[in-house]
Amino acid sequence: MADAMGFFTDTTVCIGCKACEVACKEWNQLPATNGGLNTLSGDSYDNTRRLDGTHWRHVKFIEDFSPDRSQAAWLMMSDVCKHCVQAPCLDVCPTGAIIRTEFDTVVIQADVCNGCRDCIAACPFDVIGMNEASNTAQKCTLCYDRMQNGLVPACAQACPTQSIQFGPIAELRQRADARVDTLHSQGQKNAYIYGKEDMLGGLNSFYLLVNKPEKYGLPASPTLATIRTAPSWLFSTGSAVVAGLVGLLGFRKHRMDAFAAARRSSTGEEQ
Amino acid sequence: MLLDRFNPVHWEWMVYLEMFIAGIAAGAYMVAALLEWSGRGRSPLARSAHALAFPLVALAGLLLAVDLSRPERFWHMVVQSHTMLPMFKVWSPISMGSMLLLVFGGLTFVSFVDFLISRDFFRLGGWRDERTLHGSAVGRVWALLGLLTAFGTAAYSGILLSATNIPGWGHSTLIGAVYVATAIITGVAALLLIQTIRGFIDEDVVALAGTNTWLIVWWLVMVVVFLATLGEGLRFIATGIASVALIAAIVLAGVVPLALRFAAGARSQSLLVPAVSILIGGLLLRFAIVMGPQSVH
Amino acid sequence: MGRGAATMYAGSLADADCIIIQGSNMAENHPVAFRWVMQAKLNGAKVIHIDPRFTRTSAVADQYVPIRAGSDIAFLGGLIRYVIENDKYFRDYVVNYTNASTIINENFRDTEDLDGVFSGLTPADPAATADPTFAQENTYNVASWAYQRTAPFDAARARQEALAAETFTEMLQKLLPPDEERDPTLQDPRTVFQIVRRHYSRYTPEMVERVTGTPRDQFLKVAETLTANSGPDRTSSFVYAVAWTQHTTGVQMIGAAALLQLLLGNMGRPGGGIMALRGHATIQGSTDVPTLYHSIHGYMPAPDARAAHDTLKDYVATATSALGLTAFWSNLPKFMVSYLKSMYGDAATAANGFGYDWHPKINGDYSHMPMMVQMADGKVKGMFLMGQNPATSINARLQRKALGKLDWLVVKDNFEIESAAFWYAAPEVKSGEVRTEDIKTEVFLFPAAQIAEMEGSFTNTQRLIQFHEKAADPPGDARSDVWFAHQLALRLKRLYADSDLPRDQGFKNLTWDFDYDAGKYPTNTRIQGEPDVHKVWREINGYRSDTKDLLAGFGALQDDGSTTAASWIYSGAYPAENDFKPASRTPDANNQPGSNLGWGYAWPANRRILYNRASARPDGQPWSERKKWIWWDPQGGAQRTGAWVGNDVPDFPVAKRPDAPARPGAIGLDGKAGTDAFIMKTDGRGWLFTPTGMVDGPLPTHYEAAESPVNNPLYKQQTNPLMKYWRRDDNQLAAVNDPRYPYVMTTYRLTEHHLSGVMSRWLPWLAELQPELFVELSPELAGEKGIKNLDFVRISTARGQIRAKALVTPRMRPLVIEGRTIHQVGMPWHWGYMGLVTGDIVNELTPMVADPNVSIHEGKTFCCNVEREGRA
Repeated sequence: MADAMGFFTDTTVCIGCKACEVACKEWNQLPATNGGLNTLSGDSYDNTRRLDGTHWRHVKFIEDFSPDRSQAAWLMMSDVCKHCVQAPCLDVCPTGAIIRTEFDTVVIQADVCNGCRDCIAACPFDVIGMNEASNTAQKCTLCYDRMQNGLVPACAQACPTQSIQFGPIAELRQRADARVDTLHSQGQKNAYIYGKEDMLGGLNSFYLLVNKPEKYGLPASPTLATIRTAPSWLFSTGSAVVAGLVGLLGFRKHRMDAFAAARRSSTGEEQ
Repeated sequence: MLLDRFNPVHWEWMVYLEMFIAGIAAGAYMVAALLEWSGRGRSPLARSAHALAFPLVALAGLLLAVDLSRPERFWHMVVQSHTMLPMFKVWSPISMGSMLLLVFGGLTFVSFVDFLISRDFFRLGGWRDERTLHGSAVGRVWALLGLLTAFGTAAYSGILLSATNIPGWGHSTLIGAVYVATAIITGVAALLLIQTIRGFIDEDVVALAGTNTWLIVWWLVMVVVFLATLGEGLRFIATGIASVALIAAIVLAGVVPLALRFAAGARSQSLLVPAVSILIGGLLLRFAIVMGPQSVH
Repeated sequence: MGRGAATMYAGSLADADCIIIQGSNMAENHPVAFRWVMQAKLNGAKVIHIDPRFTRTSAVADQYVPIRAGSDIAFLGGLIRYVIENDKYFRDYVVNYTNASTIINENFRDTEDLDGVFSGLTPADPAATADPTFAQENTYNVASWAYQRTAPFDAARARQEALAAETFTEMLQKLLPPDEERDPTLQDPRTVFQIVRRHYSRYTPEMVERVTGTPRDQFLKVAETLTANSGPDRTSSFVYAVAWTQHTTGVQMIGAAALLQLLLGNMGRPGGGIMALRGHATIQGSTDVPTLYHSIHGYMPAPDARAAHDTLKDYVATATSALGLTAFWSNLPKFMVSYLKSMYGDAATAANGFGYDWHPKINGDYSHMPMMVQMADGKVKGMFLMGQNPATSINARLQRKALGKLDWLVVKDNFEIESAAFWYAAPEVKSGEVRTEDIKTEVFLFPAAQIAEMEGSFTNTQRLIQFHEKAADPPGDARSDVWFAHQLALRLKRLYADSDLPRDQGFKNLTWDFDYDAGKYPTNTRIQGEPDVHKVWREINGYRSDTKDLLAGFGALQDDGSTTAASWIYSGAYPAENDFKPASRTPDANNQPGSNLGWGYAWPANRRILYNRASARPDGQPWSERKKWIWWDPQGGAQRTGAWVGNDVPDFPVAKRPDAPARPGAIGLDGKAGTDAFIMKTDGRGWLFTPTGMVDGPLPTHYEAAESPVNNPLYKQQTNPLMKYWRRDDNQLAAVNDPRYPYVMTTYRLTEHHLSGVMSRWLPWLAELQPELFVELSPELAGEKGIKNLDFVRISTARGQIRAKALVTPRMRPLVIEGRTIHQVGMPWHWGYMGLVTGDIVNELTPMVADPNVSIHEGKTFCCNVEREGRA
C-alpha cells in the first residue's frame, strides 16, 4: 500500500466560508438542495444542514454565547466522512461495494452498491446518505479519482486558510500534535485532537477541536458497530439453546401427557 | 453514540414484515427439525412445516430484494459483481443473512418438494411415495442443517440491528436473542393455526401447544431483559406508536395466550385464538423494534 | 497620503504583529486574502475585530470588540488620544516623516473652538446654485487651514507669472510658495502635533464608551495591544473595507486610521500600514484607468468647467498646485500631455494644447446618486449599464423610478438582472402601483461573457495587475465588455466621421486603433470583432510617439508630446514586446521575502509597499533587523555610488542619498530632502493634519450619521456639515431619535453571495448555502418584540418597508449609548426579485446621503423599526 493519506482539519483557522462544500459539489457534480431552492434553516449560518448522499462536505456553525456575552465563541467545523481505519460502514457492507483503497481511504463503489442502507445505519458519524439519482449510498470519496491522478482533493485545494490539510497521515499527525502544543502554549488549553489512533483505529480525517465532541455534534466515543455482532450471536445462540431445551423437554413431556390422556380415554371407552 | 441523526435508513414495512415472515418460517422449520429427530419427520405436523417454510422464505427473500434501493442488484450480496467470486463477510450481518437465507431457502425448497412428493403431486425417479427425504437417515442430517440455518435466519436480522449505531438498536446485543424467541413462538403459532384450521389436532399438536406456554414465558423474559438493558436506548424503542405496539405485543403474544392457557378448561379450548394473538403480537414486536428508533428525531 | 489605493499588499499582513480589522468583515468578504491574517495568527500575531456584529471574522480573532455602527471616528480618536497622552507615539518617525512639526496659520480654528466645526464654514443653499447636482448645505473655505509659510505669498500674482511662462517646468517654478514653518520640538501650540492633541483631548476612554458603546476596558485592551505592537521592532496593520467608506464621514474614518498609523510609525513598513480591501475583482483597475466621472487616468482630476481649467496651462497650474508642486505630482504636465497624446494622437500638438479643448469638461456632480436623481427628474435620455444593478441600489425605489424615465436602457450582464426586468417584475409593478404600459423605457439586454471566456487583466486591491488568458469562447451572442466597447466605438466613429460640429471634433480626432493587425486575428475562435488587448496595453503603458517604442516607465514621460501614455501609473508594466509583466508568474522561493516582485506588476513601478522609504531611519539604516524592508547601501547601484536596496522596489528616487538636502526653489522631488518619504505629498511628509484635499475638515471628527438615535455627545454639530443629501419627498430622513425608527440598522455581505446577488443567486450551489433574506437581531430585542427565530418580520425606514425572516442570534448585542440601551440589527443585502432564489431588496430602506469627498453613500448605518408580521 502507498502511504496512508487523509485530512487534518484545524478548526481554529476555519472561517466558515463553505468553499469546501462548493468545491466538492462542483468536482463531483452533486445536485444542490431542491435545485438551489433551499430554505433558511434558522440554525446559524448552516442551511445545508447535514452530510448525506448528495452532500459530502458540510460546515457546522455552533454559536456558544453566555447571556452576558462573557463567553463568546462561534465554532466552525467542516464535517466530512472520517475515513475510519476501522470503518463500520465497510464492515457491514454485504456487497463489498465499500472498499479500503491503496491510500487507506474508504470508498463506496457506486456500480456495486445495491442500496441496502446498512452502511447508513452503521456509520457512527451519520455521514452517509442515499443519492436519489443513483439510488445508491454515497459519501465523500476523499477525491479518489483526483488522488489517483496526483491531485489534491477538491476541498483541500479550495480551502483558503488551509484549515483542511491533505497529506500523508503520519506527517499530518505530527503537524497536528505540534499545533496543539502551540495552542496550549498560547493559552488555549482546550485544544485537542479528535480521531487519534484509539478511536476506530484512528480517523484518517481527523480534527483539531477546542470544545467537547458533543458540542460539535460528534460522538464522544464512537464504536465499531460490528463489535456487537459476535456477542449478539452468542446471546442468540443462548436464547436458542434455552428455547430448544425448553422445547425439547416440554414437547416430550406434553406428548407423553397427551398419549397418556389418549390411552385413558380410549381405555375408558373400552370399558 | 450520536443520538441526533439525520440520514434515514428507511427500513420500513417490507423489512419488519420480512422479519416476521422469515421468523415464522424459521420457527416452523425448527419444530420440523425437532420432530425429525424424534422420529416423526413424516407426521402431519412436520409436513405442515415442510409445506409452510419455503413459500415464506421465498416471500421473505422477495421482500428484501424489493426493499433494496437497487433491487436488480440483489445478487451483489451473493456474488462479487466485478469478479463473480462468492461474496461473503462473516462479520457483516446482512452478508451472513443473505447466505443463510440462500442456504435455508435451498433446504426448505427441498423439504417443500419432499412434501409435494409425499402427497403424490409428482415423483422424481426413486424419490416417491413413502420414500421421502424426511423420515430417512438423510432426513435427520437435513433437519440438523435446517435447524442451524433456521436459527441463523431467525437471529441474523436482529443481530443486524444491533450491529449499527442507531440509538435503540446499537444499545443492545440482545435483539437477536429476542428475535430467535419471537421466531419460535410465531412459528409454533402458525403451525398450530394451520393444523387447527385443517382439523388435524393430534397429540403432536396438543403437545406443541403445551410446550408453547413455556416458550412464551421464555419469550417474555427475553423481551423484559432486552428492555431493561437498553439504558439510554430505551426511549428510542418505547416511543410514540412503537411504545403502543410494544405493549400490545407483550399483551397479545405473551399475556393473552398464557391467560387463556391457565384459565379453566385449558385443554378443551380452541387453539385458534391464542395462535392468532401470538402472530399479531409477534408482528407488532417486529414493528416496535424496527420503527421505534426510526421515528425519533 | 496621496494615492488611491492600499499602501501595502495583502501578503504583508503575515508580517504584522497586530492586525486590527475594523470597518471590514474580512474573513467573510475577502476569504482568500484572509489567509494572510491567519498566517500572521499562526506566527503569533494578535488579531482584533471591531464590528457591530460578531461575525466569522470575530470567530477567529483574538479579541472581538462591539461598536455602534458609524461611531468609528470616536473610537479611533480615542486611540489617537491614548497614543499621544501615554507617549506611545514613535517620536523619531513622527518628527522626520510626518507634518507633526509643521505650523498652521493663525486663522485656523478647531472643532474645540467652534463646537464641532472648523474655521471657514460657508453656508450654501443647494437650491440657490445653478448646479442641479449640488447637494450640500455647506462648504469649507480651506484658506484658514493652510500651513504657515516662512514668507508671505501672493498666489494670484504667482499664477499670472506662471501662465506667461514658456515651459511647464518654468510655470511650476513660478507657482512655488515659500517653505512651511516648522517646530521640530513639537512644542509650539500651532504645530500640527499640538493641534491634533487638543482636537482629540475629549476622546477619553469614558467618552469612547459613551459614544460607541464599547466597554472601556475592551477599548483600553485594544489600545494596549496596538501600542505594544508598534515601534521600531514591531508593526501593526489596519484593515478596512466598505464599513468605513460607506458613511457620510467615510473618508475621515480612513483618515483617522492614517493619522493613527503615522503616529505609531506603521506606514511604509512590512506588516504595517493600511490594507484597504476593495471588493470587486478589478475595482482598483476601474479607478486606476477610471470609470469615475471626476477622475482621468492615473488619478489626475478631470478637467472641470467650474474650476480654473480653461486651457491646458490653466489646468496644469491649478491641478499641480493642488496636488503638490514638490511632490512627485510635479510631473503632472508630463502625465497629462502623454495622456492627451493617447487620446488624440497626431492631432494633438503643442499648438493646440494637445487637444485639451476637445476634452470633455465636467460641470456638476455626476456620481451615481445625483445622476439617478437627475434621471428620476427626466433629465437623462439613455444609459449603458454594464455590471451594475441600480434597481437594487441605494433608495432602490427612487432608482427604479429613474430607470423608468429613460428613453433607452442597455443592460449588459450575465443574467436578466433586476435592472433589466424592472418594468415588469419590480415590486411596485407587481403590486399595481406602477403600470408597465406607463414605462416608456426601451430595454436592450446584451449577454456578457464570463471571466474565462476573454483575455484581459485584473488590478486587485493591492494594486497588483495580473493578466489572464482566454480558455473558451462564450456561448451564443455573449460578448466581453471590451468587445462591446470596441464595437460601440467603431460604430460611433463611423457615425461622427462627417460631422462639422465643433463639439464632435474631439470624438472625430479620438484615436482608436485597437483592431488586430492584418493577418494577426486569432484563428482558434468563432468570435469576430475582438480588439487586440495587447494593443490596448501598449497604449496604457506608453511609447515614444514617433517610433512607437515601448517606454520603460513613467520616468520616461515628457511634457512636449514626444511620449504617448494613457495611464502614467501603469507605465512600466509593458516595457518591451517580450516583457509583458502582468502575465509573469514567478513567485519568491518559499514566499521569502514575500514581496513576490516577479509575480504580476504592482503600480507604481512594481512597488509593493508604498512609502517604503519610511521603513528605514533618516540615516538610511533599517529601524530594526526584524522589520527591515529597504535600506541605503552606500556601494549599491550600477555605478556603485549608492542606492536603496532590499526586499522591494524603492518608492523613492533610487539613487537619492538619505542625507541629501532639499534644493531650494526646485520643483518635484529635487525640492525635497533624502528623508522626505511621502513622495506624493508636496511637503514629503505623511499628513496628520490635512490642509487641502479633504473638503470636510483637516482632522477627522466624530459626527453622527445622517440618521441616528442619539444627539452627538461630543459637539453641538450633529452630522457632517458638508454631507451630501438629496432633499426629496422620496428620500426622507428620520429625525434624531425618531420614535418611529428606534433601532440602528447596518447592512453587510455574506461570503456565499456577491452584491445584489446577480452573480450568485442564479447558481444552485451558492443559492442553497444562503437561500433567503434574513434580519439578524439579538435575543434581547427579539424578546422585547415577541419575535421568534424564523418569524417573518417587517423592517421599515423613512424610505420604505420590506419583509424578511428573523435570525435571532446572540452575535448581535444591545449597546449602552449615552446611558440608553440601543439595539442594532443587521441585514445582508444580496437579494432581489430575479434569480433562482429571490427576496426583498434591502436598499429599499437606505437613504441617498453621501460623503462629500467621494460621494460614497451611507449604507452602513441608518435607523429602522422591526415588527413581527401579523402584529397589529
